[in-house]
Amino acid sequence: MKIIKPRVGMFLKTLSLTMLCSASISAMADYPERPIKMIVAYGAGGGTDIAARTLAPYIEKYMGENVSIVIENKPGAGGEIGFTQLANSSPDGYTIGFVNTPNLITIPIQRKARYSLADFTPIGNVVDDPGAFSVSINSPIKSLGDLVSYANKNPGKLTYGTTGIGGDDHLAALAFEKQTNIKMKHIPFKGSADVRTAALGEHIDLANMNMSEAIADGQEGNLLILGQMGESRWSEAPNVPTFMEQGYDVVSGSMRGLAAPAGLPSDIQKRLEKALEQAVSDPEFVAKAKEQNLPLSYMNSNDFGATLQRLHDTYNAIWTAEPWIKG
Amino acid sequence: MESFTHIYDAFFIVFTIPVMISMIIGTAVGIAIGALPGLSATMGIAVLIPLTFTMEPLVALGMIAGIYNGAMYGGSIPAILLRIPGTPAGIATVFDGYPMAQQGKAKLALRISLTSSSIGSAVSALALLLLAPPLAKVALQFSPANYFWLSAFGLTSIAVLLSKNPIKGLIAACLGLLIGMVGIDTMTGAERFSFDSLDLLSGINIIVLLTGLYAIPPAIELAFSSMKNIKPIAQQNEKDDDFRWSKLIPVWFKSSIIGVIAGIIPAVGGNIAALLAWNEQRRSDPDKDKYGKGAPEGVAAAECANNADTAATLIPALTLGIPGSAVAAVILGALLVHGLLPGPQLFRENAEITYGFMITMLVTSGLMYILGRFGSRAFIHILKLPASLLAPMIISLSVLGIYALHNSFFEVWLMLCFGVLGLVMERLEIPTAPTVLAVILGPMAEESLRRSILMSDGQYDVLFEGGISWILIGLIAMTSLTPVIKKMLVRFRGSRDGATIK
Amino acid sequence: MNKAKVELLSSTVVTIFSIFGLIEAWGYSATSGFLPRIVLFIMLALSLIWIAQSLRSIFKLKNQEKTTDFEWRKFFLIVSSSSLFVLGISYLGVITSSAIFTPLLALGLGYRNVKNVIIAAVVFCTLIYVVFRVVLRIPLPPEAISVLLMG
Repeated sequence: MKIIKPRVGMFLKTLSLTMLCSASISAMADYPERPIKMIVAYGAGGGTDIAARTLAPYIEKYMGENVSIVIENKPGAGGEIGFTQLANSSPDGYTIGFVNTPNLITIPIQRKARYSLADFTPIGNVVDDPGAFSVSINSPIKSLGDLVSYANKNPGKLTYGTTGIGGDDHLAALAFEKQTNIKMKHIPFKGSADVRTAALGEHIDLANMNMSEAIADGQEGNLLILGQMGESRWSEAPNVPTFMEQGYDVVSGSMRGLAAPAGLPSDIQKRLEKALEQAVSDPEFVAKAKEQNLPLSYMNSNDFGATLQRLHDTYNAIWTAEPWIKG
Repeated sequence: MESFTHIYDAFFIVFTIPVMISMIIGTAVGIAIGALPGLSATMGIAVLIPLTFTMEPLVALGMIAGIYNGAMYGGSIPAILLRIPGTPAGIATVFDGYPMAQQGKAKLALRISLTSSSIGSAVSALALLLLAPPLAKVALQFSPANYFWLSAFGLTSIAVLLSKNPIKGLIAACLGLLIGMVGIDTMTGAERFSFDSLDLLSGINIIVLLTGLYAIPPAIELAFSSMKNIKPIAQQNEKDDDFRWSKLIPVWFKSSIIGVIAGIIPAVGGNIAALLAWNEQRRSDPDKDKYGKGAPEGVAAAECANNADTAATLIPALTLGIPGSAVAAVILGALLVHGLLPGPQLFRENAEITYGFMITMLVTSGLMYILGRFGSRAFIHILKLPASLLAPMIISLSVLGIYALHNSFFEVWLMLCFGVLGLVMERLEIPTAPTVLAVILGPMAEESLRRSILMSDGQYDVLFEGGISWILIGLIAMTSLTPVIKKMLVRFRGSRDGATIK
Repeated sequence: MNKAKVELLSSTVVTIFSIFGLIEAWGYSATSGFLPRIVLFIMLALSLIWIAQSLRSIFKLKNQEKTTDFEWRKFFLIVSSSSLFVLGISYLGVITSSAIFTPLLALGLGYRNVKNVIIAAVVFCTLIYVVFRVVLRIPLPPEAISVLLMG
């Protein structure tokens, strides 16, 4: 079900596949016999990179003795460069990578990409960072209900900042607008830091950021988090009600999980899946994740794959109804 | 004062052998990274973070402080000696530093840059240490409209870099604006000038452009035997004792303040700080013509300001968790690795390490001076290398540095293409500085302009609201109108005195 | 070619570039395309002025001095060897290709002291190894030689 792929890549992939198949019978027994490359589609020092680098030693630990994971950053184009490279690598278990939603899914929807969801074998999900709406502590808006009635009185006046067009924050806001029949004004920024600066300086009315990005200001009392978009409350923010609890059917977040190229032999996949599961539940890793405000949410390969497919259908439906990028 | 007891306590954990050693290593590595074209502090720190996983927090942070300060200074060494800014922030140092080297004053220029860098870093570290919480509020005051005027103010410095034929300089600036637009438009998500290339979607990295335009042409020119004069004479004037250092004191004072303020404002990095300070120094000096031709004050202003930016950028980063630049973002990542969550709680819950980190910023600015004194003596020997040996080295360092940036061969090829473009531009006497300036400031100007118009429903008067905007508008008017008024005054006096002015 | 003719040629190239840019930017949406179009219009106007300037100097016989010698041989040598160097990095590895590229280009550019070239290449490759591998630990393409030797 590979939709679009450059012919050269295809050729190389087949070539390496045939070469591998001949060697795989012997290789499988003592996998892994050389370092495993982990592609991170974002820059060194960024959120995904640090999460990956924190996690990698624990996967090494549970993969067996003398297993080493080398992280390779392939940033650019919102993750597309790294995802494409992962999709086109040989499925021998020596190349795995972090995949981030919604980018992994929205990129092929909104532009002609060189990979599709079918090019990956999901290994497991690690982080699910719920979306959230936050306002400055001085704002008259104190709840989602206030927000809706304010927006109803001032249609198109209320400004909300997000980390970019087509990001999970933006798509969640579109879903919220649709459900409540309100109209807000979208102000895109370059990253969550810019959104926070603008919200703290009261240059925008509403900040749409993920919980991990808003939590520190929420605890400090600089921002009021109106609601979180997880299915249930995140353990680190038990006082923030979910959107569902407040009567709005909005569930959204940004997931980060591990994946390999499609066609990964199932015994290797099982091995990686098991190691990941053990790593994510290692108390030492859990403590580190807590320090870094990473909302952990482990999902096994099957569930992760199903969730990705469901997200794909949801975003595809939004895009067909009303594309978020206009010409 | 609570903070003073914290600072006092922190001193004891900073002045321990492991922290001192890591600071010395960090500073030395930083100077080297800064001096090598294509490598920057951001990249150096980013790739070192995984190595610091196992270190004690302050040992790791001391090394990072050293790299950060050292790299900012290190960028000035090749800028002065070879006209190649080692980091984007070194571009303003080229304007006066390289002419000084050509006049046989490379040693003096290096000393001025070292002294100015150390002073800038020290002032910046003191501001971070003593004034961080109150200064952090400044960071939140800047609205999109203010950002627009700030970048417009920076763009006015293009006017003085236009060279003999302003048409060519303006074409170079337009080219820079276009290069800055390549990639996904943040405001609409649409792709511009990307020609369906995956590699162009996230835009053209400034380091790729800078290395191409500034490192490759000198390397090629060095190889051309007829152009031996591109290299400053190896025989440098040894005597610089008659240089009056005291005249640099007001320059340092002003440039430090500019650097600190620029550092606090998010998204305004050391490169912009250096340009603003150089521009202001030139504006305020009655003898404008000497700038760009080897004025020691020009080197001092640029280097002092870009180093005064370093610790100041950490003010919003540490107190509010807002990284004002790519380096600050990476440093926040490093803090996170060691379980230090940026924000006000950092100063309460991890006061000792936080203040310790700030002190390492101060200590490394002193270490930088000591290491720099030894180092610059070694660096000056580069000038004695034969040109045909130096050229291949510059090219291979640039190629490797750019590859290491994002592991991308596309960017390496792009850098080489910019290199050829830079050579063509130089041969046609088209200045390249306006291009780089426009790439640095153009996207910020466009985005903030469109963001403020979007927020105000298309009302342009939002641009003329608030004190900060008017201060910046005033500065723009002063910078661009002073030469005109001065010319008119001279002409007026001239005609009154009956003297002829040609 | 004299200076004025070179100027005419390059200003024409810039004009063509701006026209192509305008055609490309014409398709952009209103908000995304506004500034690109303005900048390209300005650039087109500037390049037309530049053409006029160079035409004037051709007719007024100004700027007739010969252009400074451009050493095409060395230029092509540098460009082609640098390209081979970049290709070499992915096939041979960083250190190997630097060890080949640096001394060969230096010799190609007319440096004749073989002993110095070798010393410089060794020092330089050690420096690269220390900076990129030991200090920064950047994952660079593997060295073909070490792969061959290690089996």
